[in-house]
Amino acid sequence: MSDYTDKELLEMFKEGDYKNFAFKQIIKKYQERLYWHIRKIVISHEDSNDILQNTFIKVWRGLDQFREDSKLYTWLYRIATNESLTFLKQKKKRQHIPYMDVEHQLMNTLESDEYFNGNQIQLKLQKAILTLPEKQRLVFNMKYFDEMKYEDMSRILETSVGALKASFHHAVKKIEKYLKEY
Amino acid sequence: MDNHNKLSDIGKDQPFRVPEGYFRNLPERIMERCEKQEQKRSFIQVLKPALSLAAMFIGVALLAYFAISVIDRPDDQAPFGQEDIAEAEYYDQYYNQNELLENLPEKESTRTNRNEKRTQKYIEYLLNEDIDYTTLINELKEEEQEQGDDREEK
Repeated sequence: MSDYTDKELLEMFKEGDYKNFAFKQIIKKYQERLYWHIRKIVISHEDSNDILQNTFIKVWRGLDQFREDSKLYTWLYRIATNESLTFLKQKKKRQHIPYMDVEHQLMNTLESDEYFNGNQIQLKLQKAILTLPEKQRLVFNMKYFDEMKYEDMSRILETSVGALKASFHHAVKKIEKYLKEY
Repeated sequence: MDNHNKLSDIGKDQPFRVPEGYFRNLPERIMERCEKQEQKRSFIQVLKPALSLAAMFIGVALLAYFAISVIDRPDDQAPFGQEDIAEAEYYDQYYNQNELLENLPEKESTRTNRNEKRTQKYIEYLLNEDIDYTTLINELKEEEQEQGDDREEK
């Protein structure tokens, strides 16, 4: 983990002399958090890897213009989220499958994923999460697994804190109902 | 069927995993791609001024070409060429007095036509006002007589 603060890394990057060094530190600092965030959205490791790399390349291109009035980490999360959702939309278009079937396909990926080593109840939980609408799924994962603050989530998803709280509440209810029924 | 109906019973452990050494090698792989992007971008940035200069020259050259083609238009495309002028001079030379005289009867006939039209209008007026020829003649005679009497009194 990098010992530098975001502010120091951004200054180094913008000054130019240590641009590559600074960016490598940013990757090291955030790669795991972003990877797991993406992985929970697209499920497959290969897809997550592609999306994560594309996310960092976009960050590399845009970091010069990054305004420090928002946190680097919320900005990174926003890019990763948008990249993941765009990927799912493109997948739907490419394969000509109705949107509901994307979740169905993700469930199949989950069951056949060689990089999934959870037990039966964890698999059931992941399946329950995949039944949620896209936005609820994002909110649930970010709150439950990443333990993110609602204020940060609000900046990433551009949604009010109240709406996020309601969304999380509905998601928990639906998941518990699924867990009881199946 | 298991009894894990509550989220709190399941816990928050990550059920996914990644290939061995994935996160260790990832920064290098991403940096390689970023550097390639940078090279491509700097190549475009180097070429950009040259390309814009070339585009500007092409634009100026095209403008100049059109301007020259308008100014220096060949004779056969000019609105009045030398042939037109020669033709006009030819007709001017042979347009003599006889041709002018030939036009006169045409003017005469035009005048006659105008008189005929006027007469026709008078006839139409008399018919519309229901004035017959005899009444008109009698009135004219009476008027003539009155004028003659006036002259005698004077």
